[in-house]
Amino acid sequence: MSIKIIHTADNHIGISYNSVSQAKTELVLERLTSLKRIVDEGNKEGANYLVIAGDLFDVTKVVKTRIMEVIKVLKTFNEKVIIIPGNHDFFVDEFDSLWNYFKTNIDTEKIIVLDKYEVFIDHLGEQEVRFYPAACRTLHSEQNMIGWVNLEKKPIHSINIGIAHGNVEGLGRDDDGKYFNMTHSELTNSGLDLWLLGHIHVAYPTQNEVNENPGYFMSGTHMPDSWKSTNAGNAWIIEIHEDKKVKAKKFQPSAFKYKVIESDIRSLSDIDNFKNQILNCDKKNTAVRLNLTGTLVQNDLSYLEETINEIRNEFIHFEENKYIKRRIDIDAINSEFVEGSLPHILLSELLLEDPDGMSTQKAFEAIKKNN
Amino acid sequence: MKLLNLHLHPFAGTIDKQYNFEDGLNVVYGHNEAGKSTIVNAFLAVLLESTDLTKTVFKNTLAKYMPIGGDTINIDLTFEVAGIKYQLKKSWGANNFSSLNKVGEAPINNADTVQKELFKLLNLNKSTVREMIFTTQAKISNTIDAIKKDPEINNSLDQILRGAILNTGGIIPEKLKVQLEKEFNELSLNWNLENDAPSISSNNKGSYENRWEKGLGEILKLAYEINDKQKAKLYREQYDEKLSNLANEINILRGHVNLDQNYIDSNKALMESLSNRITIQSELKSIESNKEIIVGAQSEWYKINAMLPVLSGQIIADKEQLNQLNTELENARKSGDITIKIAQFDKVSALKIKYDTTKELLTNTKVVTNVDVENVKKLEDELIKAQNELNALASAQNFIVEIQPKKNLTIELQHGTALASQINLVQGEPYAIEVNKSFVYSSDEVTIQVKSLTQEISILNDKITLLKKQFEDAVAIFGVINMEELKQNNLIYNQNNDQYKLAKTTFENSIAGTTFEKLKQDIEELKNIPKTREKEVLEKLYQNLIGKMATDDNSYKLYEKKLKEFENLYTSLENLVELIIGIRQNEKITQDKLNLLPAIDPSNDMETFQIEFKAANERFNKNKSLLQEKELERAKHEGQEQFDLAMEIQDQIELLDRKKNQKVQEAKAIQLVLNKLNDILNRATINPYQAYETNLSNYLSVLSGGKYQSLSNSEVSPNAIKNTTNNLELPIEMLSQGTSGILGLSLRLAMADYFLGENNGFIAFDDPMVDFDENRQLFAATCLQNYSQNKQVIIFTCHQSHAAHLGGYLINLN
Repeated sequence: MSIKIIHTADNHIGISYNSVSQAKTELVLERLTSLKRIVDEGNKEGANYLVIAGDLFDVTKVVKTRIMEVIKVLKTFNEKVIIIPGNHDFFVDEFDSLWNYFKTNIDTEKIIVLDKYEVFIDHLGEQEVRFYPAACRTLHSEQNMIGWVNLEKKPIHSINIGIAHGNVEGLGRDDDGKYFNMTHSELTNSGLDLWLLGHIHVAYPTQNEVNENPGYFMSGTHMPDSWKSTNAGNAWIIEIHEDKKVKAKKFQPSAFKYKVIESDIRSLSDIDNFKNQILNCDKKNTAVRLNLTGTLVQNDLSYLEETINEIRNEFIHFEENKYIKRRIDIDAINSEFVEGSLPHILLSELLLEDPDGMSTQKAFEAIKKNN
Repeated sequence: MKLLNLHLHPFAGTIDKQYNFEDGLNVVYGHNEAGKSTIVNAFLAVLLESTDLTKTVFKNTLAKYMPIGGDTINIDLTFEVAGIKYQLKKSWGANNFSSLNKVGEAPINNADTVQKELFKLLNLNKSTVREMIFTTQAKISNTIDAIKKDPEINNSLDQILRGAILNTGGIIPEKLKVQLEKEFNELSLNWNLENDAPSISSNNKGSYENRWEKGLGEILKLAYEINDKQKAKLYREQYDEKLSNLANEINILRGHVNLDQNYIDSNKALMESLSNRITIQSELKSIESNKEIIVGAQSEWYKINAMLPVLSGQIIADKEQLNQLNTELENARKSGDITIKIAQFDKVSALKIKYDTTKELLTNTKVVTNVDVENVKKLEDELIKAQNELNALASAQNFIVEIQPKKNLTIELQHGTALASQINLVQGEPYAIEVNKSFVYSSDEVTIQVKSLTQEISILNDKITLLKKQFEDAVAIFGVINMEELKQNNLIYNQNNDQYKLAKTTFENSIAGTTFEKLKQDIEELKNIPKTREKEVLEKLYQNLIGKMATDDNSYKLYEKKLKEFENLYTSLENLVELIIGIRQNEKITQDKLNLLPAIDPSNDMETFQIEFKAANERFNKNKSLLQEKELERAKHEGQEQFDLAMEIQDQIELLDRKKNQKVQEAKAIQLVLNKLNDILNRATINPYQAYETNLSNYLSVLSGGKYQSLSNSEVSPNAIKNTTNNLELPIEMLSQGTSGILGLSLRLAMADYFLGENNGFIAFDDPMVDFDENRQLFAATCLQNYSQNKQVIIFTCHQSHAAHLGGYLINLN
């Protein structure tokens, strides 16, 4: 028979969303709601397991009500939930305040926290499924935790699945080797049928559907959590046949996205361009950061202001870091000042010497104030 | 602007009055308090003050001009600009009101608009009107200071002057520069743009560690803020790192603890078994040892009980035997030396005979002891001495006595102290004696005593006689008559006595401790002793028996002592037996317990195991304690106040950095603008101040009657003037009151030329000639008259002579 797993990780429940101040409350709630969507999707798909490959929580110190909310959500999964602690919610020991509280309050055998380096064997009918967990016990580690797996038996009749949390060389953004770095060959030569990984907030493989076993899946975060997370949230629905063939498809638990626009605005079309970029977004699920630089002629400046004012309130969060000055070109100078006059001479010479700089704008502003 | 009519109704102390002004020179003459200042203040109010004033501003500016008991100030002014007449009305107080209109046209009533329009018509700013157009007495001599202190005047004039050679486009270059510099400072104060770092003073002030508290430009503020964020980020990273490290330490410790815990748990039973085994074995050993003691005691007790009577009988028998042996030994000893003893006794017998003999001899010897001899000798010596003395005396009276015997006879002649000697005298034969001493002649018939004649001889003779008598008596005691005999006797006595003593001593020594009779009896007894075994044999037997008896006695005493001990310890033998039964039962029970313990594989090294187990226990406890400490530390660390995540802070830093970079670009842009502006201004080949300075110098020359000229310095006010008579330069600071006054008036006229420009504007002076001497008053009057050819000039004076010098249209306030 085949088994089905819904795979998520890096849920970071408890994250504060301080940098998205306008939507902080909604996003904190959305994070939990998105987890619930994963559970629901898993149930809908008839998944046998919900695997959370680390960083279910954002930190090791999470308010108890939040832990209880997570438990409440996970309990709604029809089958077993397999969890490993990641580097953010690393497991310390049985006195660990987070996991101790979590385990004490699970109140069901369906939710299993695999914090030890030992095989967890389960049976689905006649099919044996073995999980090889590699929980994190610290925030940083130059060594990964999967080494012990090599020494374990991997029965051929069993579906052998590794669960780990850490960077995969060549994939992640943590390239300083501090995050339980694993290599492609380590993972694929471990003798397991599949690895379910967490840590890199981007999904791997990148395709929406996979029909061949890639050796390991990285779920990505289920919902973006920082301005650097420009991808959508993700979870994998993975089906493993008894002949070890693998099929998988992506599921997007949350519509929330960050949208950072870095634009050097020089013309109306530039304004329209960024406007179009963000207007195509799901506005109520998008936090926008506009990082605008550049210069515009007076009319275009007004248009920019109007445009921003027009869209500002349409998004769940909108912030602008705008460094745009009125562009002073020769036409502007001619229209404002008599040729040969001091302002004209000053502005036109500055424009010539510093065409892309800000000096003409600053001089213009000063003259206007002085006039 | 040309002033035509001023109507005050009311203003200050003036209830309702109108003043008309003409072209050219107007002289307002009046005594003090006549209302000159009121007119000046009314002009300033109506021209410069808006009617839209806050209460506070009104209170500080115009309230003082409110008439006593009134609630309104009303000023109307009619003036002309470029041939067009304007009507201006302003009211403050109960109803603030402004109105400006060209005559015949609709008025503007908005206060701000009216005011803006007025400044346009004046073509002057407020400061210039207040400070330059209306000049009081004090202002004239302080003109240079006033100009220097008022940048507006400077800038205005600068603009005008530069405008003459350069179209400033309506801006004031100096003002623009000031503004740009201000903006530049606001951005980059205490920021080093070149190094992109804070400006650091010598004591490191300004660095991130020792920050500026004041003078923070926007860039520096942002840089400090970024630095704070970076610190916060580092702090957060350190917090995370510490938490991670603590977790790691806890993990390692937990691993050790669990490992040891497992080892202890799995070996606890063995360790306990081992421990119990040791205890039981030790217990068994103790029982065994106790048993040995008690069984030994029992055995010994039995033995003592058996041995004591035997020993007791033995000791009695041995005593008897010893007595017998002793007797026999004594006899043997006695018999052993009988021959010797007889020989010895014979010797003693011989000695006894000797003793008896000497004793008898001594007994038969006259006793003349040495003491006796000595005593007699003393007498004899004394006698001899006396005789010698007598002889000495007698020799002094020496004579011969001749005795004529008439018959034969024997006489005893005592000569001197010598012994009397018997002398046989023969008849007829005289016997002569040389007499030198007394003598006594004694015969049966007679005693003739010849005495010394002298008393001494007589005394001596007496003494000799006495001594002789004593001597004779003394020797007589011993049966002799003289000393020799006595000595002889003494010798004999001594010899006998010595022999006796020797014999006595020898004899007594030979029978020492006994008597001869006893010895004799012993010998007799010895001769009768029965036959015995050999003494040596007996002695040996005796010694052996003594030894045996001592041993037996000792043994007996030891047995007795031991018995007492046993009785003390165990009360009785029966009780001891009971004890032994109890011990044996206990031994069995203990042995059974030992047999019940799990068997230990003999191949295991239990000693090493115990050491390892102990070490594991110690390690476990130590690590457990350390673990608790680390858990506590972790809980404390985690319990700290929550702050932003490093990632969030980094986001904030990036935004601030972006902002800061923008500000840096702005500052650099302003720097560029300033450089460019200076460059453009410096490029002008003509000195914009040249014409102004010529004009000023001309006025000064006219006002000083050609004595002074001003010196060029390309500024509004000169630093020095030149005396044309001696070509000496006089610094402004050294000028007299009067010269300062004419220089001030020159400056004001020169500046007014530019401020008023081509417009027929007006200028007003309050007693401008008050500090001037008569000549200068005439020069000034001429100068002002000339000036009024092109401009409206209003002179206020309280001096009739000044008014007379000036001429012109007179407005008499008196």
